[in-house]
Amino acid sequence: MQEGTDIIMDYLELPKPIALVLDAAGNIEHLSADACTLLGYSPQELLGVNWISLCLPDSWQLKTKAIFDHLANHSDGEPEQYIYPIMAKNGDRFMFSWHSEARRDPGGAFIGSITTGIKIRDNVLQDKNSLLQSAARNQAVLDNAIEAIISIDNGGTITHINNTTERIFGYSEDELIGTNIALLLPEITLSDQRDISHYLQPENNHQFGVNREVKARHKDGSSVPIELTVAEISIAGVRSFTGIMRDISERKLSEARLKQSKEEVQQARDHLAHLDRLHIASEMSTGIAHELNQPLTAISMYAQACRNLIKNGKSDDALLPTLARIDKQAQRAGDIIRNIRSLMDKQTPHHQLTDINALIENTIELAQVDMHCKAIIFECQLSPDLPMMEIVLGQIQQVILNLIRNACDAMADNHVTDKRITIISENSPPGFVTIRVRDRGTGIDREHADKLFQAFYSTKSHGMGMGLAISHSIISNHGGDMSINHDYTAGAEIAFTLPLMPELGEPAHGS
Amino acid sequence: MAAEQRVYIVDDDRDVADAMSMLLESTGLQTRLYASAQDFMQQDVSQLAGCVVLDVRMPNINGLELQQEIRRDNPNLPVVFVSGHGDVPIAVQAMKNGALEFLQKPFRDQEFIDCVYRALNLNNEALNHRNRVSSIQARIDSLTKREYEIMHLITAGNLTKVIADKLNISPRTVEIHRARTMEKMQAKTLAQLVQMVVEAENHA
Repeated sequence: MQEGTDIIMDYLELPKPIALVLDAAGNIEHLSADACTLLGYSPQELLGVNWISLCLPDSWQLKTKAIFDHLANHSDGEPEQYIYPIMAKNGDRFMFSWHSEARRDPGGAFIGSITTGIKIRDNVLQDKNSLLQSAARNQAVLDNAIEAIISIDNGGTITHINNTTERIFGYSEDELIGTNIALLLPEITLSDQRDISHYLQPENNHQFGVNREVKARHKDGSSVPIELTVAEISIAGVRSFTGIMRDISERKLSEARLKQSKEEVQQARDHLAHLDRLHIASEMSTGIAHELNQPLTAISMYAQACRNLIKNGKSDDALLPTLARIDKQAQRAGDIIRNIRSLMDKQTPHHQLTDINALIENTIELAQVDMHCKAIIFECQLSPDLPMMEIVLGQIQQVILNLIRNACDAMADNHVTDKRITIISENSPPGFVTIRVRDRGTGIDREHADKLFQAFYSTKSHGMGMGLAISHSIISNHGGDMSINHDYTAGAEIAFTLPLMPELGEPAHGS
Repeated sequence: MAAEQRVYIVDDDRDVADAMSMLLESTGLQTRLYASAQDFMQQDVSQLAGCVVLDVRMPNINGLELQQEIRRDNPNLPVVFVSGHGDVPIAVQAMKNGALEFLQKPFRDQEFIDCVYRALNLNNEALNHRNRVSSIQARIDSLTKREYEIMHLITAGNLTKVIADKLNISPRTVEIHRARTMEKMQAKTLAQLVQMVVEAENHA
C-alpha cells in the first residue's frame, strides 16, 4: 500500500518554481532558497558566481550562453522560453523549463535577467526529450539525405525544403520557401499549376511513390536530371505533397559512358567480324574469280557464236536461243555478286528480317565456289515452319559459311569416303531456332572442344583460328548460343541458336 | 581435215561447256560434251580423232589426271586446257605433260578457236603421219629377206660393187634386187627411199 501511495504522491507533487536574478555578466545576484536546497549549495557559495559555469552541465553551457546573449542583444522585450538541465553540487541533474526576461535600465541598456524555472518531472522530460530528439533526428535525416526533399501545398508553393535541396538546385532556403515548385520543375505547364496533383500524378496514375525521371532546373539555368517520387499527405481535407528528388546526373553520365563503351565494344566486334569476312573472302577470292569467269566466258563465247551465225546467214531462229543463254549467264554473274556482296558489306551492321532457310541455301552456293567444297554433297533438312528472323544477315551468313568451310576442311582427307555435309534447321527450343552443321570427318576431340571457340586457336595448318571465335561472338551478340554436340558421333556437329525475339536490352545497334 | 574429227569438251560447268560447244559449232566444227572425266573415259579413247578441251579443276578426277590417261590411250589426241584460275604450277605441269595450250578464262574467243583449229590440224597431221608410216611399214614387210638386206646396205650409202662383194653375189644380181626393192617401196629416187626407211625406223 505504502508503495502505491508514494506513486500517487509523486504524480500529485506540484512543481516548485525557483527564481534567479543574474547581472549583465551572468553572475548570480539572487537565488531563491528552494534553488539553493535543490542544488546543495549555501547561498554564500552561489552569490556572485557565474550561473552557467557553475550550475549547468558542460554540454549545455554553450547553448544556454547563446540564449542569454540573444536575450541581451534583442531589445524587443520578448521573453525567452527554453528547457535546460541544472547540475547540483553532488552531480545530480534536474531538468527545468525556464522563462527569462531581460532587465534593462531606463536607457534600455541590458543590466541582467530575471529567470524562473519549473522542474519537469523525469518521465515528462523523457517524453519531451525523445520528442525533441526524434524531431532533431528527423531533421538530421532530412538534411543529410542525398535526395532533395521538398514539401509543397496543393497550389505548388514550397513550404519546406532540406539542405540537399539547396545543394542540388543552388537556391537558398529563403529563396525557395513561398515560391512555386515550377521554378524547379519547369516542365510543369501553366494549366498544371492550378492543380499540381495533376502533374505530380503521372498519367493520372493514383499510385504515388512511383519513380519517374524528370528534368529539373538549377539556379544557373542548367538542366538537372532527377528521379522524382511524390508522397501525398492529406490533413483535414487539405492536401499537400512531399517530393523526393534524387539527382541522377551521375547515374545518367555513367549510363551514357556505359552505353558508349558498349557501343565501342560492339564496333570493335563488328570490325573484327568484318575483318574475318574479308579474310574468308580473300581466301575464297580465287574461287570467286573463277565463279565469275565462268558466266563471263560463256557470255563472250555465245556472243561470238551469234556473230558467226549471222555471218553465215543463219536465221533468227538459231540466234534467239543463244541470246537467251547470254541473258541467263548475265543473270548468273549477278547472282554471284549479290551473294558475295553481303559478305563483303562494310556498312554498319543492321538487323533485317531474313528467311533463314533461304540464307542457308545461298550460303551453300557461296561455299561451293571453293573447290574443296565442290566435291562435297550437301544435304539440307530444313524445317518448313521457321518464322522470319531479325538478324544481321551478313554476320549470320559468315557464321554458316565458317561452319561449312570447317566441315569441308575436316573432310578434305582422302580417307573420308562419305563426303557429306548435313545442315539442319529446327524450330526449337521454344523461343529459338537451332541450326546444325554436321560433317562426316574426323570429329572434334573433347580436349580441343573447350578451346574451340577461343581466338587464335586452330588445329589446322592454315587459317588464323579466328573463324569460330568470331562466329561464337556473333551468335552471342544475337542472343543465341553456339556449342558442340558431342552426341553426334559420325563426325562433328556444331549447333547454334538464334532467339525469335532479339533481346530488348540490345536494340538493333547502328540503326 | 578428216571428217570424223570432233572437239571433245570436258567441263563440269554445263553452261561454259555449252557456250564453248556453240561457239565451235558456229564455225562448222562438231563437238561432244562431257560433264566429268569419268564420262569421257567411258568410251574407247584410242579410237577418237580431233582434240580435247579440258577444264583443269573438276571434282574427283581433275584435268591433269585425265590428260595423263588420254596421253596413254591416244597420244595423237591434242589437249587444250581451259582454266578459270591463274594456277601457274598447274599450267607448267600441263605444258610439260604435252598440252597444246593452257587458256585462262576469260579468254578471247578467237584465241580459243585458233587454238582448237591448231589442235585439230596437229591431230590431222599425226593421223596422216601414222597412216603414212603404217603404209611404209607394209611395203617394207612385203620385201624378201635379200631385198631388205640390200635396201639397208643401199641406204647406208654402199655402192653396188661393194654390196656385191659383201654379199658375195654378182653386181648384176644386186642391180636386179635393187630395182625390185625400189619398185616395191614405191620410191622413185634413192633419197625418197632413205626418207622412208628413216621414218619407219623413227617410228619403231
